[in-house]
Amino acid sequence: MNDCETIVEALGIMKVYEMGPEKVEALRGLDISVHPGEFVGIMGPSGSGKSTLMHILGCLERATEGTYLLGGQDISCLSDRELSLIRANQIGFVFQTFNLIPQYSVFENVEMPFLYRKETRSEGKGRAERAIERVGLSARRNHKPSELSGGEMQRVAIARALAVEPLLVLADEPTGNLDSETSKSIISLFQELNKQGATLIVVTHEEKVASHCHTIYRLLDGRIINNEGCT
Amino acid sequence: MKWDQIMRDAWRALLRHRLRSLLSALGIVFAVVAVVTMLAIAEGAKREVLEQIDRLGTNSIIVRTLQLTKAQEAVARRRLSHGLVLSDAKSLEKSIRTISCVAPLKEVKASLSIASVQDPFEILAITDSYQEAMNLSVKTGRFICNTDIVRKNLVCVLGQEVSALLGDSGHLREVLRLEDRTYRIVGILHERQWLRNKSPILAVRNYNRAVFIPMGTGTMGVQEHKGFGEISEIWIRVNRSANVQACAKAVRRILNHKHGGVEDFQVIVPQELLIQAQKTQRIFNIVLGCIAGISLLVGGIGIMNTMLASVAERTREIGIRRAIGAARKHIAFQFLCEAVVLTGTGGCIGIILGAGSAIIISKVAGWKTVLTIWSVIVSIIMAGGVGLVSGLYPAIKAARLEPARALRHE
Repeated sequence: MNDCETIVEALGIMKVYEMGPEKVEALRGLDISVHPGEFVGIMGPSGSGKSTLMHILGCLERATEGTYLLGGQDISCLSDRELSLIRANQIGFVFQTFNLIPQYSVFENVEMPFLYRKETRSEGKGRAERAIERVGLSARRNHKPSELSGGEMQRVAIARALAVEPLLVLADEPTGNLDSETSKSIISLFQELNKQGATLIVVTHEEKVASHCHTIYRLLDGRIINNEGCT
Repeated sequence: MKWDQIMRDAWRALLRHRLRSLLSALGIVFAVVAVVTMLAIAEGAKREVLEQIDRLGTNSIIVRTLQLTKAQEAVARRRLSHGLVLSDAKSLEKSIRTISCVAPLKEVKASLSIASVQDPFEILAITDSYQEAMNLSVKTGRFICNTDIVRKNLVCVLGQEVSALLGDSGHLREVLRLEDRTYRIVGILHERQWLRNKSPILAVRNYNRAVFIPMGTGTMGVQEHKGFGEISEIWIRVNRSANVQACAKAVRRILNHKHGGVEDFQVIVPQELLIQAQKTQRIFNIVLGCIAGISLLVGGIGIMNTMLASVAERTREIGIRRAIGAARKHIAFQFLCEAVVLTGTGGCIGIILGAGSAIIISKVAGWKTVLTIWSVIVSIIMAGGVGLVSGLYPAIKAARLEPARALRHE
């Protein structure tokens, strides 16, 4: 597979945190590549560096060393403003704790990314409406997050990530706060989105979630210990 | 940037903590109330003084006789001063070229008995030049003329209110009894607007309640006037306002010379009073500015404190916004907007309360207050400015948060 067919191409990614005089190595040279339409799982115990890797892939943090190409663009030397633009246009985040704004309605939460994008307000509204419809929450568009169940909140978060039609959707433990039934429905939603062409990277430590992934990267102490292809 | 949405979000964030927002804006509210009220009082006082000075005329110089004690009178007589006399007026008119008109006046102490009237009328002995000097307009009949002065005609001209109160006997050609003399009414003046003044130095006569008689006719049975000397006042009109200062100097010099250096008169120059009033106003403004500045500083600190608390408790929200694409400038702008909306709202409330308190003060204390559009604009700009300044540091702090760290914040 050549470069233009990979969405994510990360080579020798290292992340070192300086805690006063001490240096903590969170990632110690990772190589990851993700292709369009791929459903990738990242697994590992707590402290293995999953979330740090997620933040680097999502352009929330920069790697201390290594090269990271997103959609063919080297982002390791971009400014904070340029990284914000990439997050606004190419990346959708789904978090374990949903991370919705509590005082906003479902629709306003999903519409929020358009505040930082170039679309007109009506375009943004249209796309937000479609995303809510896609996750099956049209009937609850005016509800506040506190009036929703955990599964519904996660669907809102997925709709928010999908509304901007990103190159890559990053999900950090998306089922971590959900019961097994709700988890199943969220996983099947991910599968459905993947079938529709979305590229997904899911951080999880649940084997059930991982079993649906095309590729799984297993992390331990900041290193990939196993890279396996499933199904 | 989508301003309307960011403003809407700012409003909602503030409304979410209504009480906290209100309490933190209170400092600004009180500062603006103080500023608006004080500006309204200052403006009212300024206008009142200006109106009075304007009524006296900025082209005018007034020489008034001073009340002397017995001992002072004795000193004055030794130095051959007879107080303010008619010849003073004549020599001033003759010696100073810039004078366009001189009008001497004598306040006559005499009783005009009208049962229904408590407040006594003013009886003024004048010359024919008084009409021109004071710009008096006659409604019916005529004013006192030079012939009346020369022949000592027993005629009088009435102010509008005097004529009205006298009823049938206040018409033209009727007679008016002043002590032991009877004066024929030859003219009635038009009504003239008059405002009561707190400062006696700026007092303007109420011509509606005045009876004018020719100078020299009131000396027989009618008592002498109040002060020392022959006349009580000389009203001088100067040809141009630029000459007023020089003319006033000349008046002082000539009168000093004529009165042998006795200070039995007082020269009032409305133009000087105007300059003095402006100086006082400037000092008042500085004091006012300091009070407003301190109040706003205290208010601003309150706003900064609230905004810092808001940034701290919304760190996660900042992380979420950054994750979905907000740049630093968006975050900074959002918090800056909140601070400005907070102080701006405080400012608006302050203006409304300030206007209310100005109205109450003018009703209760009887002071004139004027709310100008400038005081409103200044207050809004001040409140907004305080919002900008006090919101800047919290906004920068919010914008500088690392997105990943902000997301991890519990």
